[in-house]
Amino acid sequence: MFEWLHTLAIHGDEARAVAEARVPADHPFLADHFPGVPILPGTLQIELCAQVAGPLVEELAAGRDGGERWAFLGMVRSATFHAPIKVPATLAIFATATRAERDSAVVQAVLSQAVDAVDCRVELVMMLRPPEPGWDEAVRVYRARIAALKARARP
Amino acid sequence: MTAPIDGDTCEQVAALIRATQALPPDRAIRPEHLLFYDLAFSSMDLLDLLFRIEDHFGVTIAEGSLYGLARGDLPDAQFAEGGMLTPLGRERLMAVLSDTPAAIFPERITTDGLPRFATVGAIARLVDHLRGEGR
Repeated sequence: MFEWLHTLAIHGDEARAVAEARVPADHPFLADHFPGVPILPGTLQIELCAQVAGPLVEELAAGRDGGERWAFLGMVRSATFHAPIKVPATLAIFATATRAERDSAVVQAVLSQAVDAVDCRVELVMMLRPPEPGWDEAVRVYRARIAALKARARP
Repeated sequence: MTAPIDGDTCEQVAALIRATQALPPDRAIRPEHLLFYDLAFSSMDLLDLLFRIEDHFGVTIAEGSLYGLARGDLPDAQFAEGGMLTPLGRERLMAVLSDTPAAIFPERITTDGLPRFATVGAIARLVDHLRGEGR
């Protein structure tokens, strides 16, 4: 498991979220990608975007109907990678929900190494489901993690 | 939704289904084919198809579109109760999906599974309906 998000700010009224991720150079996932020249794989760039998209659409769903929803990545509609991201890296992730319904949401996200740069652009479909029986502990840990990320984002 | 199917729309929907399922161009897709039964659709395939339809035809297919069409002007409580269609709701759904064999519809139908019973022709009619509304 990797937890690279460092901060998360959700602006529900604007259906957008901003996050900072800090990717270490020595994570085992990166050992072979590539030996001596560690570059963040595209799949993990998508995952980082999804980790921002999830809490965003969960908050939008809660604001709309008050129900507890659990978001997970359902579909990658598009993904483009514009520059290699050498690690260690500090990345900004900007996510905007372009559509938010009861069971699904569409999120466009950009991942950037520097101001005004676009290193990865994705359009994700996040699925929303009520937590299932037996998920209580997972939900509790996840919610605590999101709360900590939000607390770090506060000025 | 009960209007005749526009053959051109149906052909375009069939092409989008082939793209969704990565089917060869010569794979026959007929209006009476059921997405989930004859074409092995999953719920994600359906979502993928609906996005492709939206992009292609410039319409918006919101969640619950089929539910809304079937319910019509019926009060919600008479159409569904506790996440299941009422007997009257089931009748309304079967009327909207009139080209789906009646035997496909179980006695109890969950409200979030209505597209499961749609044919290719029903999707084409939905597209024509939405285009007619200018959505």
